[in-house]
Amino acid sequence: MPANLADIAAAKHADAASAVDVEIERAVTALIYKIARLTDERDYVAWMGLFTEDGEYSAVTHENLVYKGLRLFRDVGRNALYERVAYLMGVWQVPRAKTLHLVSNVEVSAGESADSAQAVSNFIMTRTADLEHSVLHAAGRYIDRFERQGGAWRIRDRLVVVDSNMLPPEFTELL
Amino acid sequence: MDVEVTALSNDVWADNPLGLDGSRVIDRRIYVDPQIFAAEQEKIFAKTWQWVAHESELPAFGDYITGTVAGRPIVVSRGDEGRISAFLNTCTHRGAVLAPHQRGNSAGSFVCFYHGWCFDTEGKFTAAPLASAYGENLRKACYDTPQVRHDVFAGNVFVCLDPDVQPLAEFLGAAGKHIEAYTGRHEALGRVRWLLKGNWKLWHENFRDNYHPMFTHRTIGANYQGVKIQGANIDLTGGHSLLAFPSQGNPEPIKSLMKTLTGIPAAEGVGNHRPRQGNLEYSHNIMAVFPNLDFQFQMSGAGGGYLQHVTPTSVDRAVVELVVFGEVGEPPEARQARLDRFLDAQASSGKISGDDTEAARRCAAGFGTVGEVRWSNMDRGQEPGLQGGKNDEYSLRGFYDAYKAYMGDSLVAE
Repeated sequence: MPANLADIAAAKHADAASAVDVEIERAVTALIYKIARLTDERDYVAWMGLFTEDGEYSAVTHENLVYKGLRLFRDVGRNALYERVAYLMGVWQVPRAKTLHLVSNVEVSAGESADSAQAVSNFIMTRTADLEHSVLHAAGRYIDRFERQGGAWRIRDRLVVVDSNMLPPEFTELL
Repeated sequence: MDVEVTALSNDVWADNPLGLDGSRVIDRRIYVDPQIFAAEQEKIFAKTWQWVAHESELPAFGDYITGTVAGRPIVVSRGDEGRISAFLNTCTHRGAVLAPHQRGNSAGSFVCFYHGWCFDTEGKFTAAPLASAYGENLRKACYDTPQVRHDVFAGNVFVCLDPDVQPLAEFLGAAGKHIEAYTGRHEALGRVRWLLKGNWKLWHENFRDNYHPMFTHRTIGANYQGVKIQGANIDLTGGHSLLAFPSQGNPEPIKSLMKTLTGIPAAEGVGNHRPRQGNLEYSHNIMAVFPNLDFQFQMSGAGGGYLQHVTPTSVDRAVVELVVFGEVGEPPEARQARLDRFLDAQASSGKISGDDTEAARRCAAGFGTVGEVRWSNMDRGQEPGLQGGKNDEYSLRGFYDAYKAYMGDSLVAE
């Protein structure tokens, strides 16, 4: 993962990347859409299965990305992802709501080997709570790294950069 | 203004149908009444010391941070010789805010974008473009932005709109020594803020109430199964309070809960990824400072912590802002771990605070019944004095003793 958050903030990640095989680009793009679909279907266990065993899921507001790098959370490895899934499935008593992710501007680039790739994309996310109208919940950027294991592409790590520095009150959905 | 917060001769809440002393109930109208909210702004927020920044957030000449106190926009600015200043964030010409961002650097001069009037790092008027058109009438001293009284305590910059209230250290009272221990050798690592759907007091009360965690937070409830809960709930007087308790409980029931919810057995290590300090006594501190500030710090192990302050925007909306602190000079690995995971439980995205935010929302919704169900019980802990067990309500009662003293005749007994 390009752990240097300052580099990410400067958008050097995508610019420095090299061209990628079209088949890899297609597979990775499909995976990005699948992540969004499983999230919106609330199939959290299947969502977890898209990560490598040591996979990572984290989020940061843009404000903190360019300040000192304070993340909202950083789940590293299957146990941490499992805990998040458990929270989503009922440890949190915040009611789950319908979400809708729109992902676009996907730019895939080659990784360090033929079995790795990275991508940046933009997302907007709506949330529709019970008896409420749909609201824009979050917008931002995914910065992803992928690995191919046993012929299947998996998420090695996903950093979600949230544009807003004012979070909504119910911010426990998957981003 | 010095407020006597311990002796109320005529308690405005004494006549309640719960048959309790007035110091042991809450009149729910304080959460919903716009007139009471307006009175709180002037009688509490404009007359108490309000946290606005930590010095470490203003390391360089020209750095500034903005905030809002009792509805007034405020600037805290670093100027010559490292001096901190605070002034109202408004151009004295037409009113536009001079510092438009949450944080920034003025490069030594706040220049109003509207007509170019200039103010120095202390808010003093320095120049206006094309000033000759004013003739001899532009008396500079009349156009300085009003200064706001400020003071620094353990690195924390507080402001107070009222020039006559007691000094900051006196206001903090017994809370002061704890604040020194928390932030005295720390630096701020970042802020996160979120909207609260409810009255501001619902958030602040939550950090005086240690009765709720075992019910609101399901992992804490599981963690406490079969455990004799240790800890103290202490009224520090002056409206301030301290909750102190050790890390306690065990993760096995948490794993069982997660298995039930997910249908997948929890692996070794699940539910136990945060370090525990065994039986170290009272390692965790939650200290609440009247009226809207709280600190949560680990006093052992990894140390460090955070503060939160809640700023009301209306009677039923508020903004909670959380500031994370790390120890100055801590090892890079410890700093990185703090940056990566410290917010895991906090903010509206957090594994704990997510449900606290929900609790405020549900209480606010329930207050639609205030005409029928007016009173809340605040009676936990029957021993006399200022201190009880972790789940008691000495802290909460201390807050409302101060609240009623500040509000005075704005709270009407009926």
